[in-house]
Amino acid sequence: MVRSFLGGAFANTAFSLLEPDGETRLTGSGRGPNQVLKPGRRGPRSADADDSIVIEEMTNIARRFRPKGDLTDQTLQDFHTFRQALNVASADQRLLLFVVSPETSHSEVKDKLQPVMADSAVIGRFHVDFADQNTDQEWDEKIQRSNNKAGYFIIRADQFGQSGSVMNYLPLTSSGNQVKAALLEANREFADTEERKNYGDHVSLGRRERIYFENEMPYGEDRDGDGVIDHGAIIRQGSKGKGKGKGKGR
Amino acid sequence: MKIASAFIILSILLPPSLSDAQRSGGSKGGVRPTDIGAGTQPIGAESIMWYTTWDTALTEAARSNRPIFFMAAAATCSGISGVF
Repeated sequence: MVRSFLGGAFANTAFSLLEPDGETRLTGSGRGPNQVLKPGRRGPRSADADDSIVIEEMTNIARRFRPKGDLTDQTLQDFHTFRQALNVASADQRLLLFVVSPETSHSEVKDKLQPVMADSAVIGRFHVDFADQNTDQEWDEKIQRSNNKAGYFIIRADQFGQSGSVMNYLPLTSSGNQVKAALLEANREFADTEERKNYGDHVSLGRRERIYFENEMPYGEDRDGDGVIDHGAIIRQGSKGKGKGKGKGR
Repeated sequence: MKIASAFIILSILLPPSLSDAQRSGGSKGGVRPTDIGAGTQPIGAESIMWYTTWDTALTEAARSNRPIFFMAAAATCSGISGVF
């Protein structure tokens, strides 16, 4: 899918705006909004992205659509795996609400959580993930204070998002208001005790500690779109074309 | 109009990848990871509500008739987790 947005290449970012059907493109595609929405079309290009023009372009596109439905019926977030949810919660520095429930209770639990997660005091402050029977069986292996029960787990990811701890646990029988109250209380404690990460320091520490996140997808990018992941810098060879080398910068 | 709520924000999470700066030896290709500082968003404050799978984003876009802001990004830097 990413390749379709980058002319066959595969890189670590890709962007486009799409209609609600998910198929029709509203804009071109590229590595990011500033590249695609082309502030440069209105004047000379500058090193600094003209965010106000990007916002204006997006506002104009959004005006073409009339939103429908109630926010309290919104689709709940879910991740492919608990591992990825924990990683993202760490990266975004938000708490993770992890829901473990029997399949027969999914619908009931989601009905209860939808208005909670749409609440103005809650929305945009947490990530939500539902346990998957196939991929998340050993979800609590590296989570402190976990238990092997069904319920709502409010989890604080650690610095590198590969382990964490349960801040609070509520049984599935808890009401929506009880879940909301627990989330807000945990978020207050989190805000008081968590420091905003410094990207550079985080990466430096990760290198020293040899942190690595295993992923099922292949490692690297395919910038020339030949279908093969580049395991080094692409060496441009001028009019002779381009090739792939090992790259001295690794 | 609040832009973030006017779109369904979808970010497809990509695998670990060498950063531009690493790949080019740091001489070109953008900002070096070690030069990027801290975000300014207060911890615990409201931020963008976004979807991390295509299925959930598409379902919500169809339900609410909002366009999709599609962004694919690696949820790691140089294979290091816990950072975008």
